[in-house]
Amino acid sequence: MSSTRHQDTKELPSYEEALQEHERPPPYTPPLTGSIMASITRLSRDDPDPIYEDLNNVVDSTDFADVDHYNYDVLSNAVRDVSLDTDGSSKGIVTMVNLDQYAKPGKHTYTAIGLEGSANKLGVGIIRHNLGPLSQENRAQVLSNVRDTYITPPGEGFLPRDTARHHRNWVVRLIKRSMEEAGVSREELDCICFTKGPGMGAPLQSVVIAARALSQLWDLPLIGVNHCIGHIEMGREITGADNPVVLYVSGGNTQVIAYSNQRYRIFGETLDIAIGNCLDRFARTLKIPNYPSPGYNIEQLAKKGSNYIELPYTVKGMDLSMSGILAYIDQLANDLFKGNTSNKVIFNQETKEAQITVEDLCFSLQETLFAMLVEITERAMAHVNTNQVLIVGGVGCNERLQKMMEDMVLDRKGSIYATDERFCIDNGIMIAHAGLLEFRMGKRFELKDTVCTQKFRTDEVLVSWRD
Amino acid sequence: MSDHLVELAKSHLTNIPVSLISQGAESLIFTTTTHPYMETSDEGQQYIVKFRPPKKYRHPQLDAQLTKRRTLAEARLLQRLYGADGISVPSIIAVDARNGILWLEYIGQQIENGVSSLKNYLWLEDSKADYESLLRAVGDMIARLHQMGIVHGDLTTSNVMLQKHGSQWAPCLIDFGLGFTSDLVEDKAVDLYVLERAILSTHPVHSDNYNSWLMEGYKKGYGKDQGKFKQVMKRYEDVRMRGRKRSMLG
Amino acid sequence: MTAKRQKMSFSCILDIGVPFETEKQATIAKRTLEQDPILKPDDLVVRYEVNTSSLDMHFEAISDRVLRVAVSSVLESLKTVIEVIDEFE
Repeated sequence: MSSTRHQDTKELPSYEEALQEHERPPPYTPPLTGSIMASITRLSRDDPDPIYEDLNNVVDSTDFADVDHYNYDVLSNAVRDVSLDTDGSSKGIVTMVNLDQYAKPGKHTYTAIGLEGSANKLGVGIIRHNLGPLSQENRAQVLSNVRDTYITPPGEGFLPRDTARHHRNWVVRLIKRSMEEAGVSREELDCICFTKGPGMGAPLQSVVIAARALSQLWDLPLIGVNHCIGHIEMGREITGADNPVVLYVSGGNTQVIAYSNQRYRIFGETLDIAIGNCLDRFARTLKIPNYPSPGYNIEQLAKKGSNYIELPYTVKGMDLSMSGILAYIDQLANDLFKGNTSNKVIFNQETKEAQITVEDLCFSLQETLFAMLVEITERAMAHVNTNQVLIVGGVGCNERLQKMMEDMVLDRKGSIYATDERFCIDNGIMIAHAGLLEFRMGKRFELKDTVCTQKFRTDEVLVSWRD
Repeated sequence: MSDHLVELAKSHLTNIPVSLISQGAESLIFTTTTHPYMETSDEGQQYIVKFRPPKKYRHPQLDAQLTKRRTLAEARLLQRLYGADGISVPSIIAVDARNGILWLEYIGQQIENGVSSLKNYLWLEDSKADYESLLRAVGDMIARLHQMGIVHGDLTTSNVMLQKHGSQWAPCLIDFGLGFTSDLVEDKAVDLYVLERAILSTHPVHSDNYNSWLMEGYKKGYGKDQGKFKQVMKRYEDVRMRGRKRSMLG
Repeated sequence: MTAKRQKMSFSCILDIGVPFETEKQATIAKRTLEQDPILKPDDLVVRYEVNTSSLDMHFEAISDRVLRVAVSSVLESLKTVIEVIDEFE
């Protein structure tokens, strides 16, 4: 596994070299949600821990999927028949939405390609649905799901312009590879889905250009997808969670969401910065590598920490705030690096020796932030009377977060659902999947409606495909 | 609901018969007929025992600190608010902050869909004649709270209980675990924003009406002090704007 | 902003013609590019036209800098369009 990493950082690989190193993503394994599992299986990773000494290793931009393989598991342990029921509308009887009213006669499947590029990941995926409602017996098929991540040097974040350039460089090649891996011809496709927002303007725009050109070239309709809805729908499809409280945690978003009356309603969210942003920025303060991802590296460091340092804890109802915590821990880290021995938290006042390590800081940051996330999720669960939780978004890969969520859910005798990095981290397949659901409900986008938008709230989308 | 948590609660309450009535996000709510330190004169008298169990998911240090802090905060605020003009809260009977236990006056009753929280009551029907007056009363009460320099910290329709006064329902604020004292407009504005968002997500169909009734009540609650009200409103708009500006990234 | 003032201030003008193999290709390029709104219409005007198989782009800007940024951004997008056509037509 480690051989695919470029330890020698001076020479960036050529495109051909990079391509060769793009291994196929692991084969799609059907998740284990069909049965109720007696015990919870931990997600595990076999990737070696990046060590803190690697500090100055500049790493290149290869595909995250190549380095990081997770065992694919779905966490599930108990009751599944809970109906989330808000606003008093009792829904004892489920009436099915007809997803096939626009089906072409004689065709038994739908196939969609999805393009995602709202942040530093460029993803292309192809999905197939059979006729009829999606269920445990009639699952969506992932035909291909490829991704390339724009990685910046340690201490640097990704800027919109550079990220857009990365996406432009790769988008056509990824589309080609995605089609090849799926073994799908253009004639089989029904629509082209793209991320309309939310996200960074320039990267979004760089990808929609390809989508528009392709749509005219192949004469296929365009479907603009809300990025967050993509995460939620893919999470539901992969795990089989039918009506969970969704914790959506990524570089740009932190939201607790539950479905009611054809919208994904936001019950709680950050009042300032997103969780992933908070972790990324702390990684920059520590100057640890952004590869495979800053949050992943913080997670590895945190595993070696043991001293818990008290940080601000800022939950406001079902909302939370993280900028104060970041400012505080940044200050601790800077005092540690500068050797500011007057800082009593970091330095023993008698010996003047540091009693706290960088690992302890990472550990404390995770413990505090994740406790807040789990707490607001539990609040939302109690509020809407459900005991299913689905975690989506890049930070959802974090094992510690999953473990904490699991501990909370066990005390409520509920179930937790999470996906692995192929679906947690931004990807094209979720855009294809959510877009295809919209397509099946008859939605089409004219070219003039394909302008991307940086701000696009989850609850703006009418979820026509659910009842 | 988890049995080991109930057992744990009982271990802190030796020889006191309790029965669990609900599991909230951070606490278990029990009823008991035993008063902690007085002879119970009235046989039918009930009390609430609120237990904040340790959270396994939290670091033990963080957990102990939060449990103690919140239990104490709630006790102190309830103590200060009890009997305050125009504010209704349960009276506090006893505190065990280390073990996260509060003994409170019994509030509310059963209605068709559970306890008589504002949430359940609003979920009952599309509209009832007294929804408007109730929400105005809640807004008024929050204004009075804010004028006393107290921020609730977790305003939702679950945290407003309804009590029958004669044939009329009257609101009563509960769950001050996230409450704190502050005279900053920012804190009050966020308090209102949290409530607005809770209404939007929990009662989406009628949220516009509900929110405007709440705000009208809130305005009225400031009485002659409309200057203060305007300051909070101005900041409230800022907080909402920040909300809309957020979610820039996917 | 009146038309007169606009006209006076748009001192930097550039025309670029990009030849395509077919009129269809040029039309695809035009329709792909022309959707995204100009952020500051007071500073910049861009017009696209298809003449037989050529995509003719007309830029008018208030300064060199605005012109440079606009042209560079449009050409970057155009490169993606051409790559799509090359690979997938």
